[in-house]
Amino acid sequence: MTTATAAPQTPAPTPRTPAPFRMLSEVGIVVWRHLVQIRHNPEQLLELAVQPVLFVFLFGIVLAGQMGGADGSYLAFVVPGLMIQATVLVTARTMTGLHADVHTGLMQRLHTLPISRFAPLSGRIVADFLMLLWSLLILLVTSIAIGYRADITLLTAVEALGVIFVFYFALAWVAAFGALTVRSPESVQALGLATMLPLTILSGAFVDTATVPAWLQPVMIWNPVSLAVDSVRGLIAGTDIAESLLRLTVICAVLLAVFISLATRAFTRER
Amino acid sequence: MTPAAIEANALTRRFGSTTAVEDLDLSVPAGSVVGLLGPNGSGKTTTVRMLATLIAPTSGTARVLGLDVRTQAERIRHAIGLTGQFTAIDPNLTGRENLLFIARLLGQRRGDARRRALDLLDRFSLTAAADKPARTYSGGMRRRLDLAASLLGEPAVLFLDEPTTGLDPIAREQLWDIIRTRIARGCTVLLTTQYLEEADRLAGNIIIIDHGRKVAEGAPAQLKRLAGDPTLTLRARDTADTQRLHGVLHAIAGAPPAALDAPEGREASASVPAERVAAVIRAVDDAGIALESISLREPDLDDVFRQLTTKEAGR
Repeated sequence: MTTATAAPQTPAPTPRTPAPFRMLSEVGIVVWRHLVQIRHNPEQLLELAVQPVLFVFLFGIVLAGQMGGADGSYLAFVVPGLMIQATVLVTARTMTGLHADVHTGLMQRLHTLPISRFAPLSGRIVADFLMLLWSLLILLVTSIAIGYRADITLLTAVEALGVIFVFYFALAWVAAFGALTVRSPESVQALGLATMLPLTILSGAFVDTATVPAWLQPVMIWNPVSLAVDSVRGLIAGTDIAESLLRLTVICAVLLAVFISLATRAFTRER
Repeated sequence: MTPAAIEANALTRRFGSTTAVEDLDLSVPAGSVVGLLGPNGSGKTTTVRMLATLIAPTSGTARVLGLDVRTQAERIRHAIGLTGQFTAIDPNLTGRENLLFIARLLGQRRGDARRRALDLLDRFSLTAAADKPARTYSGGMRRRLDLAASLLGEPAVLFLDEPTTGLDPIAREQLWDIIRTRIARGCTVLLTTQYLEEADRLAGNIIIIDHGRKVAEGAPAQLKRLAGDPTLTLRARDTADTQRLHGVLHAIAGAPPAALDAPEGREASASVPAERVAAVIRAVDDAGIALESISLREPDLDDVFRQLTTKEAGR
């Protein structure tokens, strides 16, 4: 046990490990924390699995006939939509979890530690993305079980996951800003619902945007959810996705630029 | 003179149009404990947040271990620990995991982190609960775990922001013991509290703030002197002696004593300088008055506080 000395010691200015590696290891430690949380509360995995099963059942079996796709064509259409919907829903986790950290004071403690300011949120984003992968796995297994087939290469699968990650990363910063500015956990939930429901409903996740009234079309086409769905759908179908991918990239870049600076400012502001 | 571990000059923080802390000067000598005492909303927490590099001052300067809180925050964070008003622990992790998490973020190797966590759990009487989720802990246990977490890095400066708010008297006593041991180890501590007793018990020097401004500063004994002399209360055995008892007290204290237990009137009390108490008793004895009880109450910090803040309100 070392003893602290009475004279004020100026703390060592030089850290042992170079900054990027330190940041990586800090993020790793935060991810470890979130995985331990899951180990203690495994029912969270169940919750993340039930949702996709229900939605695949609803859209792939219950509604498929009505949608004119009893032959499985609607299932093929809607699976990428459900994947992006799952992505949007996972951001709710990111938001409530971050809000709890701020609320309990844990975030304040983390900010008094000599670690990167971005490590706590980055760790949470990585951990929640792992949860999203679990949710997507269940979604795909369920879809395949009821007849979904996709003829894609491993590279395409990785590309699709890349699109999903970029989209999730942008949404996570929006969620972070929401979590930092909203006071009560109830308001976090209300805010989450109020933004996520319209985002997914008014998108091309479940319907072809060409079938809606003309005045609604611009909203649906420019909705980032539609752009992410179009990109993933196009990747799986092997069609040209240059345009939707470009639009998605632009929107994600704008969201990141705006919300990283807003969230960083909210971090340092008194609540 | 001992060098200051924490030093603030004209420290000011505004939030929009409200001023939370105004022109605060503060100096905490290395290895000492200073108590920042004030009611809710007086600016204590804002002061700690500025010194712990969580928020930047609007104006003024502050140095911790000689480092500027604005420009050298990163280096300050290597040497401080903070226990805030809210227990900063993850309720879903066990006590042990909570400590491991913070220790690892502090850059400690896995083995060292484990050993330190084990040692702190033991010192804070948390070994039995080490592997239970922190959400199942009592309020006192949470505070102890929180304090343990802030000590993981062996900080040279420790900020304790209302460390015992909301705790029952036994848990508070336990936490005070722990804080005292810590102080004995030579750590510099800035403690904020609304409990005058807490500041009195732990701090060598006390700064009283109200509405973001310093209203008084000094050692507990000095501050108590501000509140005046101790109160001596005498109670005669016979009602017949009451008049004479009042007379004796009046003669020595120089002011008519207050009768406390009217209408019976056997009790009289007056403010008497400590060194004259013996003279009063002697005079009472000489007068042949039989006493039933004698009590002497030192002014406590509550008296000081009430006096200072009423003065403030009357301005």
